[in-house]
Amino acid sequence: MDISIKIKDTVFANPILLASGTFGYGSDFVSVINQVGGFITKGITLAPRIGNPAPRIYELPGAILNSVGLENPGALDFRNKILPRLNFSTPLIVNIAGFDTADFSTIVKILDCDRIAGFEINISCPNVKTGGAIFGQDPKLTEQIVTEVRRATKKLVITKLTANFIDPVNTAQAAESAGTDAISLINTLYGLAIDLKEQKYFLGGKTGGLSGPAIKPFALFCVERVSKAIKIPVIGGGGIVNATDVCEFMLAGASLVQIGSLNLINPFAAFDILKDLKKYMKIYKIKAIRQIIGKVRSNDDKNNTCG
Amino acid sequence: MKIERAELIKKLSLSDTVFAFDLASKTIARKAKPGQFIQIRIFDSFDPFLRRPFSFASVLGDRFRIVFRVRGKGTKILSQCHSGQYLDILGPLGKPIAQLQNQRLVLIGGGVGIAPLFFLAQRLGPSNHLTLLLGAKNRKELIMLKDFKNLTKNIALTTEDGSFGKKGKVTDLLRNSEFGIRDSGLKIFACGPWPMLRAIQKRFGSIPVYGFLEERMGCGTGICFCCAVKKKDGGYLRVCQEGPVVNLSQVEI
Repeated sequence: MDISIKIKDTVFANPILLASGTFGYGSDFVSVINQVGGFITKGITLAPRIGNPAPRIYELPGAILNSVGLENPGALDFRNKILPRLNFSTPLIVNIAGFDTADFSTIVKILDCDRIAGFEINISCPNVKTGGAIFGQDPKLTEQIVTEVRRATKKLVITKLTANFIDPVNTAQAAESAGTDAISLINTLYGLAIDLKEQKYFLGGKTGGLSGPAIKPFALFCVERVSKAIKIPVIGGGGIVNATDVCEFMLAGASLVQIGSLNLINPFAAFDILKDLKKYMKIYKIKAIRQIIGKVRSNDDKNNTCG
Repeated sequence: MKIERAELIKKLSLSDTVFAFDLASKTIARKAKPGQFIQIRIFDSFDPFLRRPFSFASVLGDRFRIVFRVRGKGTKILSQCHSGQYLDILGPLGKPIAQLQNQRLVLIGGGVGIAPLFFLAQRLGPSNHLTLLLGAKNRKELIMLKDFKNLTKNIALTTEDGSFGKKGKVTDLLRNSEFGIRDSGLKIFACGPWPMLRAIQKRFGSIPVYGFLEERMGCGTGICFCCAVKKKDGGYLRVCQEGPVVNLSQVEI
């Protein structure tokens, strides 16, 4: 049974990645990180950021709305103080965010080293006033940022797109032509919560990003749509909570998947998902997990499902 | 830390809205230290989505107690659990309170905030001198009083309706109390609502006041950065990681 996936030169032992912002910087739960296919850090910006005021999280059925606001120590402190302490063997992907188009390649130049397997360009954070999702809503800015990052590193470059208010096919194609190795989507969706008692915004950062099982159908829709429009691999995520969700995203066209919100309620969830994933492969006689990527069949296809 | 399935051994209703759960888990009970907490998964259906944090109110052998007030959907569902049921628990979490020896300690608790102070008092060695100031809405909500009285005689009590102890809030006891502002060697631990913590911090200038902080929490394990409380020297601390018990002079309250 083969559950590994290769993208460019990076071999992921299995298709499970831990999504940015939901698992810290990688210094905790190392036993979990060592079992997954890849680890993506919390977003790193050029300068340190203290993040948004509390409350930073709001809860609703099957979903959470967060407004952390990219709290992070900045690229230099991440490189000097955090990176040397990360001792896991799983491919390490650094999520990078910027407020100016030039920030991204500058951060990459600061961080690029052998310890890092690649970068995830975050042009989809909904919780900052400038940059973030605004870059990801413009195919031209997307192309410019990816081109600069591509020039700055030979490592794996993933571009994390937003699906807020735009068709991600346009930005995915822009990122593809600028040389990104993979597309990841979707980041959180725009959301607002209002505190009725106080008649004010609930979150300290006013608006937030929606994630969790409630957004899964939309995420699947986007993954399928984008993967059909580009040639490079798609990394899918949005509300994955179990191995069946993983299979669904892969059938829809994802080569790898990201687990996000689930980590907040069960940091060990990846163990169960991997165990169940192998079980499903046995039941459905799947020899290599890569065989199911994009293999969702149309409803009038009469052929047998498996074997 | 691990995820444990702990049996609800005994459920007590301390008042109309306050419940005490005695839970059995060898692993959690043996590791638990004062100041720490657990995260309970209410349902596995993702509604409520997040776990709910609860401080340890006491630990005895392989069992531990949590005390909570029904405040929203999560605590409401939890309050309807029956003994014999198993709960999905992550913990112990948070930074323990450092070992205390030869200290003069004042523990101030308001409402259900009284509960975590009991575990702290329970674990204090005999070398410490202990004073308790506890306040609640009424006699019934002055929870765990018998347990506290078994630990020390130095207890002052208040109720807002005057049904027991002195009438008023627990912070009223500080106005004319025996504790001087320059009383060096004194340490205060306070657990209760933010206005209570604010009043206590204001009353004691240079005496260290350690408050049990509360903020909307995501993971409880330090990886999501949601439970942020503003620090005085800039930036935020995570209640679940640098707290929940911190010196109140370090934070904006």
